[in-house]
Amino acid sequence: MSWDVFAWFALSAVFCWALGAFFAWKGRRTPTLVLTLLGLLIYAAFITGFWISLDRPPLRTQGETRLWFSFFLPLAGVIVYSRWRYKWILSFTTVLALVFICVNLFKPEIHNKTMMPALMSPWFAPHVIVYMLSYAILGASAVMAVYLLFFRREKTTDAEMAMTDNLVYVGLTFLTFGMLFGALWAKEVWGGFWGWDPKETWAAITWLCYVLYIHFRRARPQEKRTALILLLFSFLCLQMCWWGINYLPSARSTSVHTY
Amino acid sequence: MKKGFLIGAGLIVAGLLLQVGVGPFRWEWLAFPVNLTVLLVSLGLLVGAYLFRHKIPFFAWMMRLDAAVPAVIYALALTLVMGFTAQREDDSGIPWISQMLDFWPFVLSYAWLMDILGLTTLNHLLHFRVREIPFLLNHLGLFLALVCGALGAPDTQRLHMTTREGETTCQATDEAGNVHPLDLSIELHDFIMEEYPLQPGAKMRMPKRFASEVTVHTKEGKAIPAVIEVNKPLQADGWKIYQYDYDEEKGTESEISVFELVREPWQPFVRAGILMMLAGALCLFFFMAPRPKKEDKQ
Repeated sequence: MSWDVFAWFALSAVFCWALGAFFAWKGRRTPTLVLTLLGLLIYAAFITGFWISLDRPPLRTQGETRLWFSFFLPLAGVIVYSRWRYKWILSFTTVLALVFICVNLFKPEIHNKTMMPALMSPWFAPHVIVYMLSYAILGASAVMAVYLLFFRREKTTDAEMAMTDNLVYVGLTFLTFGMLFGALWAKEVWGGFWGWDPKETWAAITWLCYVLYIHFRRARPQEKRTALILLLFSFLCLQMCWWGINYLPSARSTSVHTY
Repeated sequence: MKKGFLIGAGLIVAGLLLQVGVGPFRWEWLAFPVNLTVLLVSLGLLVGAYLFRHKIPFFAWMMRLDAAVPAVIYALALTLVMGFTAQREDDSGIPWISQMLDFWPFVLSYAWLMDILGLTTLNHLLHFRVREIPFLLNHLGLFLALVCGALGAPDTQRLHMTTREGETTCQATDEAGNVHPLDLSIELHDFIMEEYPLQPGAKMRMPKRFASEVTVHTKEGKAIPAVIEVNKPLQADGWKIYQYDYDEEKGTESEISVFELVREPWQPFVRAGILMMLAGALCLFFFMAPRPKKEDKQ
């Protein structure tokens, strides 16, 4: 399955997700779940086919990581929805997924079959997939922070904060996995666990941000606004780590993480 | 938290004074046996601080979140500065912060964070309860990985060995260019480089595989036939041997293969720390997220 057909799969998946989000607003649970899962299935079918046609995991280029991110985002959304029934979450994750799909449609990066020897490792797929999953979950927590800070008129409740905390805990779990898988892999391929490559420095920054959030929440549970602002700041650092450093003069072209 | 911020600021000032006074922090100062001494003395001091925690309130304070949060903020802030400045080996960058790892305030901020982390971990270790296992895995794991990683760094040996097809080589050079004779020797049979067919739109063929067919002769006289390739290093005589380079001008016809030999004596402790953190992260996923209350749902 080649990249040319991506638009068809992506748009039909987004259509399902958008319809699902609409039913979520209407409070209709079953059609919401069915449609969102259908969208995920369509999208997953494309990823699988694309993987087979490439003869390698589609995880190498920035565009390919965006492919996974826009898959995991509605997945994180539907998990949050089915557990906490926030009727608006799926609208946000759908819009965000659509943004990343559009980036991929308008700025597709070269998706050829080559993969440099440094990437040929059993660590490759878990390292990147786990990172993308954590980015999506932490993206959902950032969406939550935006909602609580700027859209909700009433005071933020403890239950809403608890849900945000939950997303961060789960997101940090996968973030830690991604980082440590990376360290174990780096030992096998470059001879050291940690090399302070720009990507690694920003991964450390991102990780410390979320660790700080968790500790701050426990130290000052009532200072919710500060915590939520910290959460948005953390997500900015995450974006910097993921793709921002490609535009950062200090990190550009010096990173061994450029593929 | 004010106290924590003041201490952090004090450490930055102290670090700047040291930077001016004695120049950048040199990691080679910590080479064995200094690193082991530093570790044992620090652990002794942490135990002392723990024992006097009731007499001296400061030590009790160090175990609190009010100490941890500012300490993380300072470490984070300095790492952010590092993220925004190009790091250089030579003096071409911004003074001090272009070599952030040798910048005293950076070193001191992380050292302070490790003190707090170590003391808190010790406190939980000595009041062991089963439900504290996730906490211990996360905190002790991080302590082990960071402390042993940092202290062990100057003991890490990284040598490069250039071998030629059909020949046996038993010496390697370090980064400064010094030649080191080794007990171990590598006989290169064949260097293999495979390439992908030319991709549409690409100007040149991309490499697919770098590998070396070798026989490694160890100190004890064992001959180990092996294929060393990128992502598949070989362990022999305490060295880890990596495929590192080749004759780039000749490309697939290269008769030369360069290996990197790495010896990292503190590596098992770092690895143990990493594995504990992985287990701790799993616990975070399963146990630590506080359950939301059923009421006031939207």
